[in-house]
Amino acid sequence: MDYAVEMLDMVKHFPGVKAVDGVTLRVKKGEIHALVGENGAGKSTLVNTLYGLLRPDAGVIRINGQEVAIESSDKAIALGIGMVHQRFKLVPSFTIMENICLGAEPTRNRFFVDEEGELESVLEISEKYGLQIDPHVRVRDCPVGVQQRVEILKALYRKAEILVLDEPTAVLTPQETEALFQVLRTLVKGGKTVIFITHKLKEVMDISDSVTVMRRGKVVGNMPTSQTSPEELARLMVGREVLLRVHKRPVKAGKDPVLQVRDLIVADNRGLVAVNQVSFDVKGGEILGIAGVQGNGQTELVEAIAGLRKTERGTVRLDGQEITHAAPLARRRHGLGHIPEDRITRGLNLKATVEENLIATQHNQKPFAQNGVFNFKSRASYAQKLIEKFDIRTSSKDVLMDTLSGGNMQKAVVARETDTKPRCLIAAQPTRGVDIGSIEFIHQLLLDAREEGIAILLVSTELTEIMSLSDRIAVMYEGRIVGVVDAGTATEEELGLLMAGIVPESLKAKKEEEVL
Amino acid sequence: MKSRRKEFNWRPLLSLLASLVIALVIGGIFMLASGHNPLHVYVLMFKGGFVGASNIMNSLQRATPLIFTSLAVLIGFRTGTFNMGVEGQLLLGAVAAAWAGFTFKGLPAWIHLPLSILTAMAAGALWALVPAVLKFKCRVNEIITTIMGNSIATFFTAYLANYPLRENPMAAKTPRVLTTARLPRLVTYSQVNWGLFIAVFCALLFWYLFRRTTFGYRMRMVGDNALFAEYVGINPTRVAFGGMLLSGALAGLAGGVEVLGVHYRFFDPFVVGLGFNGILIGWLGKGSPIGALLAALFYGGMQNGSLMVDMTTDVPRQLSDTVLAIVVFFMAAEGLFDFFKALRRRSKTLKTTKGEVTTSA
Repeated sequence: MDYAVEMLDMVKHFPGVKAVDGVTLRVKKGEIHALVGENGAGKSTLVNTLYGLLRPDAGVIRINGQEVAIESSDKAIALGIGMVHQRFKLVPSFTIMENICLGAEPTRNRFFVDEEGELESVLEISEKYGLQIDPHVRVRDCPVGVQQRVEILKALYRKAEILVLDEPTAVLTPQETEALFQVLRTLVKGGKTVIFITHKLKEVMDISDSVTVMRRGKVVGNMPTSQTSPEELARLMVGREVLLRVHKRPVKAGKDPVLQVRDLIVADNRGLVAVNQVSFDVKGGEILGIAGVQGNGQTELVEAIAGLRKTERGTVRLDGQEITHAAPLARRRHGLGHIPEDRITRGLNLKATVEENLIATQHNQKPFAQNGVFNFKSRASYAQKLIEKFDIRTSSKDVLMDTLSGGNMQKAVVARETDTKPRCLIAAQPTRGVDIGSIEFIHQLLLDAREEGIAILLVSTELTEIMSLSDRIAVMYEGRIVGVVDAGTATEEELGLLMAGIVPESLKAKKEEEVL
Repeated sequence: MKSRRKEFNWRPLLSLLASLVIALVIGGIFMLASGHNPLHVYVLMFKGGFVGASNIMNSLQRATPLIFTSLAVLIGFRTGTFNMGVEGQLLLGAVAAAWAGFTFKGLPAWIHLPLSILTAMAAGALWALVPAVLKFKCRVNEIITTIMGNSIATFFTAYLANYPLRENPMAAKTPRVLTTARLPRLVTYSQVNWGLFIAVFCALLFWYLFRRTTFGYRMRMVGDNALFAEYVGINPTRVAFGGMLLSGALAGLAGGVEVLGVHYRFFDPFVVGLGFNGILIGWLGKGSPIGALLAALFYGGMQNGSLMVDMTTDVPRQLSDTVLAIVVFFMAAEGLFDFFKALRRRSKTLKTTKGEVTTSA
């Protein structure tokens, strides 16, 4: 058997943890090999040793059967290994072509960049693998999916035969993901080998030929994809049975709408209309899902309702009270909770402690503070309570937030926003970039909140999430709601069409009579 | 309270000591090159700063304004605005204190002195108001406006000392402030005065505010992540605006204390560099008011020591000041130590090529 990559008995310690503990990974030539595991299972550490970013403490690496020592990424590139990082490493103000060739430009007379040669080779590769790009567009003007394509082209330009992708779909929309998969299939057909890191099981089943499962620094499973199931993979990853399907109990929604949005018009950062005359109601005990491809106004809609973005026209009411132009604090006092789509830039202060983050929305209220002076005892006991109740894995409530894993950061946000028992909760991408165990937990929390009669506006680009949690689903396209469907009867095809802006005939008639 | 107490972290202290040693070695090379015995100079410098009642008192006097200015800078850092205009705000505070000190006659000291101090603070805050408004209303970068503000303040106060407020035709000086507006001296043989207590009090006050109060909490949240602050219901603009004014008030206070406690008048050119050294010391303090206090005391001592070296040896002041600058350079450049460490661990962690930087897993 021909292996492109063999990593045998790899060990890598970090102070206090064995991040990789005797892992063996074998990747056949010309296959797509999925490397799965929860956050912190050691996947990234393992591939970083392959790419020369980390030096393993023990273990043997063979590339195409040859034992090699990869002490730098230069060496890795020379060996034909290319890596696409989770966070792209591109120069935003450079064009796509310049980014691809950066540091390895063809030259004329040794000092001058040969732009024609550059263009030629970039186009050649992009055509060969079906990676369509416009080489002269600046990277900062490209959507995320295209930026990722540039990263892949960068690796191919450096003659990568083995391509490592670290959580490539975490930032992609379903459509972009599908496009990426097409590219990966083409690459494999062309003889390349792909190592694909993910924790999304659907993707493993869709794209990979074989799969290696890691948990806590060890390999706990290795099999051809055809011989496994999402359930089995989830069990291996988490180490226990996982409910991939949530159990949603019927809840009788309240009579009066809790959140009422009427004819909302909101502009984006460039001043263009991003939300165009959107109206909907959310009742208590109901989850209204907002589906749609990313960038169709969901972000602006959520920010406007939360008071973080100016509303141009229209009204937002909470329990009948108009809050259209109220400050964020006033909205919170009225009972609005908000899980923002980006926990790093918005939802948390990574430079503050876990405790300081957990009390943030109530820091000025009794019993946490009186006359502007903190009561540390009640702060501490409250933080401790939330950490236990929401199973936030942290060594202490006094460590900085940025020491937590993504899933636990998100749990901290969810804990803070739901424990105050809001009347209405906006949950924007509540499980993006979160491990399976935490996804299950957060989904359950949202359903619990629904049973308690909280009105929930769920915004997500993950169709499965929307479909399994929502009672009704509204689809946004180019700033408008193009259709509202009942979650019980909606099909993926129907939603897919709506997400592309096409309203099916069956819905058109209904839409006329139904007021959202 | 027990939960708040953390294990004492020795690392920053060790790195400070290490930088001190390296700086002394490099400074020593300078000394040797110019034909002086570095050990001898260092002993003199240390003695001049920290040994003997008069030296200690003079060091404390030098540290006093630095405590204020470093706190002023630090509060800006903490709220996410960069007040590079401490120097200018200090000058205006100094002129204002001098004016209040010689203008209001017949007031008892317990009114006149606080009034003069408050005038100084108000002047500093008002001058900081300009860049604050420009930043928060018109989105003008405060680094530029505060730096330019320094030039304006320098020339404006020079004008005041030379023309309208001039007392003596021979020199650009204002009249002396009345005795009712003077901060009492602590000892007869040094200019160290009650301003020191005000400075230490301010440092402790801000330490308390940052640690224990919602006011300080909001400032920190805004400085760390303004988007987060806004989202949890804090008004970042208001907090940062307040931080800028507070910073200006402290800078004005520094000038006021210099006039009311040390010189008893404003003159042109006034003491130079207190504001800029404040930026440096605020940085050395690593964002902590207590750290800034300690750094200011150290710096004041070193400055005084350097002066002693100048007075008692033929080592020129410039040379000992150079050594002081090198010391501060190394203390501030803690990144250097990470660099050395990275060199040692080169086999372990490697930078990637092509401008990419290691992302640890």
